[in-house]
Amino acid sequence: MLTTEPGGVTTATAPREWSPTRRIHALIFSDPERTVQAVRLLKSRNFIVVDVHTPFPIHGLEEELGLRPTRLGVVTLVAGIVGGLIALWFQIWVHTVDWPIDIGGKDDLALPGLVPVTFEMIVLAAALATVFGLLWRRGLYPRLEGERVALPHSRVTDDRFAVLVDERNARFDPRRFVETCRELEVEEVIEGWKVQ
Amino acid sequence: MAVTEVPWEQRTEAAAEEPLLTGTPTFTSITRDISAPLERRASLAWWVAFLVALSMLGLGFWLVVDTIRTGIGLWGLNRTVGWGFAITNFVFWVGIGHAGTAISAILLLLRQRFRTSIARAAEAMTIFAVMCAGIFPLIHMGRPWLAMWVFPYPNSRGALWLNFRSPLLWDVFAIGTYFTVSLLFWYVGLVPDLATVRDRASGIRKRIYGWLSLGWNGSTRTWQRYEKACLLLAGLATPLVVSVHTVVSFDFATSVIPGWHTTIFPPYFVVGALFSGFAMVMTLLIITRRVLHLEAFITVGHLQAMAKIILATGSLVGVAYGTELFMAWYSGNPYERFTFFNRAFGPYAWAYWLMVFCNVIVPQIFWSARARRSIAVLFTASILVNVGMWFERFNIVATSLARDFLPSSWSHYTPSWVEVGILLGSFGLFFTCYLLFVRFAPVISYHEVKHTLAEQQSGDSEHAHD
Amino acid sequence: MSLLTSHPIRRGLGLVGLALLCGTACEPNNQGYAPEQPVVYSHAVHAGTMQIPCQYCHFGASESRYAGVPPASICMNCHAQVLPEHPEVQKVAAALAENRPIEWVRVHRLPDHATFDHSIHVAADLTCQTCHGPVETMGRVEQWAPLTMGWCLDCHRQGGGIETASVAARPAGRGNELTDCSSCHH
Repeated sequence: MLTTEPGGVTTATAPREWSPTRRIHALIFSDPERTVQAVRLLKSRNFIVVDVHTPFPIHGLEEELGLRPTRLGVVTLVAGIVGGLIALWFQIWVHTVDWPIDIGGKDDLALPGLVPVTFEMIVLAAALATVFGLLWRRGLYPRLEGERVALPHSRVTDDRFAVLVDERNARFDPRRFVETCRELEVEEVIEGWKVQ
Repeated sequence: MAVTEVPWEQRTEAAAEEPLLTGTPTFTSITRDISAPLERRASLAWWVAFLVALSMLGLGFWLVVDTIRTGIGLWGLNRTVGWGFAITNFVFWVGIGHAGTAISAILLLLRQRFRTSIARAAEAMTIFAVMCAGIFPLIHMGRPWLAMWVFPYPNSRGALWLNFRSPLLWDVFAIGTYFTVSLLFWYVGLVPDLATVRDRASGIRKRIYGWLSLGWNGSTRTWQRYEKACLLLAGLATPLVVSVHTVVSFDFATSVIPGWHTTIFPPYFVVGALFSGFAMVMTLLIITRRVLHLEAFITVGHLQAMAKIILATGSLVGVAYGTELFMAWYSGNPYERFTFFNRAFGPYAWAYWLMVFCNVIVPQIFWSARARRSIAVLFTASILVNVGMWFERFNIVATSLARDFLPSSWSHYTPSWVEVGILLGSFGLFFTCYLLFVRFAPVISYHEVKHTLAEQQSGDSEHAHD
Repeated sequence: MSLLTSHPIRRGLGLVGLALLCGTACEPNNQGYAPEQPVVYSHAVHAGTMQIPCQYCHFGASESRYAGVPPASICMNCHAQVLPEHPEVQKVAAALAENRPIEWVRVHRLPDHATFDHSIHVAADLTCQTCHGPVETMGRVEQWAPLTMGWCLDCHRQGGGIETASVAARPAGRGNELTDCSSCHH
């Protein structure tokens, strides 16, 4: 899946969509604050930081990476409104158009009685859309056997933080990159993690 | 995302007189300690508990099959009391579920840090409790093979849709939505942690956790949307907490039975649900932290914060009981007056006073800080509260039905052993699921605890700079 | 990238969902049920070739809720003279002699909580065939109509499609329409 955001492609995606010459290096850290500082320094030196893999969300990192705010909230809102309107329309249609039945002498169009189901359907539609929106947008689905998970380091879900640097940039200077890595006291550099 | 809204942070600190993480944890040790129960062989205690729970489940299963084959004539219901144990248990279990959502959603929105270690277990509890709850209306139908009739699908009955103005139908939607949203919230929360388990595992476990963790790789782009999704789900689940038990209370409140037909029911039910739910979370966590050696994560600070919530909600429930009595008298309605007099001094008086003792008197012990720190007191009180809350629902269901307007149709309800067995079976289901959960899923969220630790560390270093 | 086509698992989930949606509309019923009967009796011969009116045997239809299965004595009104040696007729004669009912297998069975009154429908000038189908051509009786609630309503929704005294006699207004619950569930 190709993302449309500025700053490159995501690493969670199928390798086939990557340009054959692109190499991505993974800089491994074991401290969240050092990771954020590293991203800042790398960006200030015009390296392209594609993504950072972390075991827990680090606030502020998305701004450092220049990621646009997610529009998931819009999905939730729209799904809620649509779900609610459909639920309300269906109930009204059932009770006034399709088959008006006299139940306990209530009016056919007894709106207060339709509130609970409408409300529940708003919540249900919004929640389903939010979760499946997240899964779809980030390509999260049950991986079958043999399908590789794009992990830069086997411990990024544990206690390591991986900063991914793309060498596509024309100004990418390998010597300067090594220097910067040394300066940052990187725990480990995985060169050419992801080469196609 | 702003995490430094000072007022809430200060309140959090004030609320957690005891530390929420003890020892000197690191990210590595957090992963190791939380993974430990999943990666070592099950203890003897776990096997004993599991076999007991499984036997109870087996008993319940057999009795449910018997009920379906024979009919609900096996129960102690009669023409006057048509809602006995089944509906009592249903309301009880739905109520239990509420604390899970309250902890995971409301406390997330309020940024109460003490929720991190307990939210996962509480959410699991919600899901299992709602599963237990769902069984009762299903078997109470008598013809559960026609249960799909409660959903509006195109059918051969003239497309007889549903009566959307019926509170029983609202229940279907409320419980269905509640279950779905709770499950989604729980699972979404689990995904990054299942990935952690995956990356530590090998062989078949790696394959299964790999499948379940949906290819999670901790990318910041994913975390960004993930956190937003969690916040949105919390926002959606919060009104659900209030609405589900409100709708359940409508089952009673929209009828004309004295003792049921009262406007206080929705808030009274919601508070009671939180009350019983927090008590159940307390019971479970006291056992869990001991059996899985998670005392460093589920600290006395957590239990203490919950004890305060139990004290507050228990006292609110007490106010509700008082209000009910006052309104019965003040309304001047002879039927209402009789119903409440009958509850307190009639044939079910023992159940009424047991309820008052467990729900109103017992929690008052938590005014004492010493009681809030004593595991034995917390454990005993949490169980008593749940006994009390079960009897509250029994009182509402049985006493109002047994003696309403027409003395000629008065009756008495005594459950049959089949009903008691099915109640036991529902506890069996609940504990079987919970025990499997603590064996196969991380009981505490790795990423949330690590997040808390990182915030603490950065907070400390900021203070150091000052 | 479509949710339904991008990945085998997602596609599978989508198809299961679709199947569930469609499948629910196909609820089973007993249409076409034609059990073997203890006596081989042909409606095609009696009601078809012989033109015996339905209510000669099912005389309860115009009088009561039930059309009724005729007692063996009704058969013997004719069969005392006609084909008395026929082996199937002899079964009937034996039952009558022993004062023992023939154990006919019930073909048409409505759900428990629905009431169907034959006399009302006969009085409304509905033919037997409207619900039972071309019985006069059936060798062995089968359930011709689905007899689902929706099928009943197909007629009831058109006011029965008939203008008769009994329909006109119903007081007008809500609660008295042919599509009210209490028309059949009482």
